[in-house]
Amino acid sequence: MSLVIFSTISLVAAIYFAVKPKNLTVFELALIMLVVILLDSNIMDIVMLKIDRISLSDKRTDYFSFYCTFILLYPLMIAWNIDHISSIRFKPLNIFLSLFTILTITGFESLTKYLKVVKYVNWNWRLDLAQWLTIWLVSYFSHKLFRKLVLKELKQ
Amino acid sequence: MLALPEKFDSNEWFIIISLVVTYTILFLLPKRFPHTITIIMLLFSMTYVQVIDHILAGISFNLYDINDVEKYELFDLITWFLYPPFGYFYIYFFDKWSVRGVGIFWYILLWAFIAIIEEALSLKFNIFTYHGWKLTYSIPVYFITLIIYLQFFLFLKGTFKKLKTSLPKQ
Repeated sequence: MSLVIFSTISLVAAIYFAVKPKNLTVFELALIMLVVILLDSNIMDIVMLKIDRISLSDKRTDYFSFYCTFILLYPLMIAWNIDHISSIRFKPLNIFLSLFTILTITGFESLTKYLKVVKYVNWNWRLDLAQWLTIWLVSYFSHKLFRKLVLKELKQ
Repeated sequence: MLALPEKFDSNEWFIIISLVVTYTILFLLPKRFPHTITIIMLLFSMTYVQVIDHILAGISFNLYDINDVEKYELFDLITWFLYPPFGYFYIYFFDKWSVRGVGIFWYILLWAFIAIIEEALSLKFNIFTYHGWKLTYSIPVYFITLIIYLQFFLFLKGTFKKLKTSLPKQ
């Protein structure tokens, strides 16, 4: 079941994201997605291999569900969010949309736990929330710095 | 905190020496691409390898261990910095030598060979400990990786050129 749910959500998100009009350049979107995957991968390595707070199910279908979220869904959601807020000038709405994205990702993380894709051992949704808030902040500020460079080089 | 190695031996020295040599060459090479492309390509190499290692060496398949222990240690993180310079050299010389047509086939073959030699050396210096993985399994993985990497580079280069011409100059 988890495989059907997560592969469907991830693919629908990927198809929509591929065709929707975007505000950011492909370089900025690539940077955001790569930063998200890199950070999430390192955090997961620490949490799963170093401190053993989360364990992964033994089923191959669950591995696939897990990698769908980690490689496709979450990076897409953050890239989508940063792309979307870059066109909105009303700050409270930007904050609301960003928090909504982070909470949605935390919700998906809880769904992986509910569907037994992962098992939490001394880990909870608050730590997920802190993890995704940190990842969002790092991605957002790396993007801000990178954007200046991209625009400068494109206009040269 | 990430654990330091219990014994500072051949694998740690191999990593440090390789890092010094490859990053020195990387910084000494004349600039060839806009920083935008260089940053994305370096980040892409590192992320790609991390994801592959996460799948193959992590808890899901556990086909090999990186460095001394199965747990995540500081040198595992440092090891991932070894890959970006190789990815960069691969696209750097591809662009510099204007490799085209059948040349691309030989170029990919050459780099797959370099990657296998590098992995064999890493194996000799205990960077990897296989549990079901074999050096020969890496050959198709390198071919796929080199093709994806080259396609991604060509896509970025083409997009940069297109965007540059469409934007007004300063």
